[in-house]
Amino acid sequence: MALPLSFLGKDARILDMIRRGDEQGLALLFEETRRQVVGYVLAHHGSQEDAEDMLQDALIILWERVRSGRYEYTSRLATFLLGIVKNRWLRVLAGRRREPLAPADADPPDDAEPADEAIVEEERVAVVRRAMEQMDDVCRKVLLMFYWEERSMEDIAKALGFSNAATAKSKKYQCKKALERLMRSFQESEQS
Amino acid sequence: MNEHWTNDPDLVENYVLGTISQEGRKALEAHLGVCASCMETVARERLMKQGVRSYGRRLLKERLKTMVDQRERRAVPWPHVVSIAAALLIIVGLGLTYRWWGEEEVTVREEDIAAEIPSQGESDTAVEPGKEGAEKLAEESKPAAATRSRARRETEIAVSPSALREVEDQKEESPGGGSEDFRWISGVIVVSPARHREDADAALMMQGGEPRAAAEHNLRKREKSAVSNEQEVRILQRPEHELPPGQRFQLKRALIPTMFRQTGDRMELTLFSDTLGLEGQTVRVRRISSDSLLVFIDGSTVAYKIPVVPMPSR
Repeated sequence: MALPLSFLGKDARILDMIRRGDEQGLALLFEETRRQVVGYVLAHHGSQEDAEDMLQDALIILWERVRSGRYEYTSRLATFLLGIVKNRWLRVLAGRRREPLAPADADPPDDAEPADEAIVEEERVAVVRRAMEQMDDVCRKVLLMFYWEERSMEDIAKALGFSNAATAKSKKYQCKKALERLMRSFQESEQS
Repeated sequence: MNEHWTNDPDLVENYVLGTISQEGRKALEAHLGVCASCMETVARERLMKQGVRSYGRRLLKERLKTMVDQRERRAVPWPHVVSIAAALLIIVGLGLTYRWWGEEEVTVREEDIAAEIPSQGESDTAVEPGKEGAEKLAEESKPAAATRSRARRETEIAVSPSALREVEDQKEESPGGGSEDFRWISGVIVVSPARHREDADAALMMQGGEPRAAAEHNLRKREKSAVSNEQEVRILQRPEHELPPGQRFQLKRALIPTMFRQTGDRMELTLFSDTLGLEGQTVRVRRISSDSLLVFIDGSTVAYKIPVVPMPSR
């Protein structure tokens, strides 16, 4: 028998909310840890906006790990989040040091230079996002549950009301094909 | 194993999602090195996974921002609430202590009572013969040092009927332990009435003889017109610590809590005071209206308003 939540600690309650898909757990955790994270980022040449952005990203990482069953509770959630923020913020700072701002009178970049792989990759990902926006609601949910939340077909069938896992799998196949079509059409329209 | 394992969509998904074993993964990767189309299939699947995840993250981030904003808007500003609550509590506390609300208070202005005091000179129950008029009044109205400061804080004499009603419900609190019919009333030490006369005299003396003569005439007229309405009253004094708890609020308001008993024509006033010295003192009581009376205790004058029970007339 599950223990009443009042007997559990705050972290346990928030983790339970996340496991149940209740996003308010993230909002609670955001409020709990914001002061700490903002304090850290401000003390390390960042802004309030940077801090909140970092914290939101860290919360999403936590969400993904918990939802996919890859999260193991080894420290308080606030400590876990602050650890992620510190690592990511240090990477941001290192990136800024490596790429000092170009002087105002610098030459414009040469068109012949090889494009940055990361930028190209981001453009491709953006096309998928646009395609996702065009998908119908059921397909969006199926694909999100499969690729993002890494839920099993049984879970997806149960959550979305399909008769069984095979039906859900069939639906997923249709959705993938629809997404590929949309991606292709976006790519073609961009090239033309 | 199928030469082109990427023809199996489940295998491609498992590979991209990382749900296959390390050994199986190595075998699949070996094939990818020699199959460009397989590599392309895997890259397409990987892009789809990255794109869908990116889309999910963006959506969640937007929802998270909205949720945080909503919570902040709904959040109770506790420091403000606590400040307001504290202020209200203080106001209510003061209101209850000083009885800002409730029944309308019956007020007797100090000067009204002071105007009555000169008629004491003609009192037929005065215990100190030989002293007359203003001289006697001056003596009567000398405030005791201990009571003067309290009395000076009072600019108006206010006796609330609520105090009387409050006490009606507390008959069991009778300090005498008896079951007689009694009521609690509040007395106010009258600020030196002599001061008014002295001030008036000083002013008149400065103005010359005619106004002074007129003022003296007025004073005499007032003294004559004052109703000589002495009352047979028994006066007792008890220390403040014997006061029932329910009546201690009167002390805080610098009133003289008094237990009032009446049997037929006879009236008894028990004053609870540590400052008024009734022991061996001359005490006179004068009714100044149908519901007000003055008690003259040597150097102090205590005014009472008894609005509920009218004084019996002789």
